[in-house]
Amino acid sequence: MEKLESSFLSCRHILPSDDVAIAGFTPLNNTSGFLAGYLKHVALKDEAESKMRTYLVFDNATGELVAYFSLKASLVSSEMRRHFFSMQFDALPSIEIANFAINGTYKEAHPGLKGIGYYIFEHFIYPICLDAAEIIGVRLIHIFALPIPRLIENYTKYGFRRLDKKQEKLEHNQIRPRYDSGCIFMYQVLDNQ
Amino acid sequence: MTKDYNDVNIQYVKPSMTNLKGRTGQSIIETLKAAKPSDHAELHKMSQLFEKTYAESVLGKK
Repeated sequence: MEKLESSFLSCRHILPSDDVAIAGFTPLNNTSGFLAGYLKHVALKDEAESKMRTYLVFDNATGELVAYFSLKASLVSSEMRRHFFSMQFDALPSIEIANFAINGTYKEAHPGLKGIGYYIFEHFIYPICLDAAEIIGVRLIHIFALPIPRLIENYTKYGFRRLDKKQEKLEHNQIRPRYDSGCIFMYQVLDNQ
Repeated sequence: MTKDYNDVNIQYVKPSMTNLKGRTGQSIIETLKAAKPSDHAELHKMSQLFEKTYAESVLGKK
């Protein structure tokens, strides 16, 4: 993928040569320590193995690392039913935003900045998902959000919705990875019609 | 996302097959298929907040 650029920020794949920028990444708050660990220790390995695509977002004016996010192909499955001796299920193709974190170092340097995550989602994440949907069938974007009310509320402003309680519980049993234990499935339909 | 990042390469929880059978399992896929794209008006509003605060906060301009 070529570099994506807006008036203020630019976005591209992570590279091995990004080690200095990555080393300076700090979690924004105590809930995202895992996300810093992923970026520093796992992201490049997952890139090499095509398990995940991690994107770094840089400030055009200062060159600082603003944030990173990781995307992977996924599916949302449901409706198990027995068919003779096997189980069948229905599924919808989806893109999982597996990681999304703002760099605490950048935020500390520019405390007056508001809406960084929203801007990145609108200008980079959503357009990348739309591009993917041009080439392959993708209907949904989904996340597993930390079960913090303020975060869940924020994600609704991104356009993400929750299933109802009973559906949510079943969906978690079906597709939630172990490392997302306790997190909440949220989804939105891609507007690619 | 929680737990140790070493957990990343792993393993999904084994699905509960029986749980997804029946009406609720069916209703999830129906809900998702019937869902319309989200209205991004709120997202756009919050995104514009970034543009408004960027000049002052990063470039040091008023």
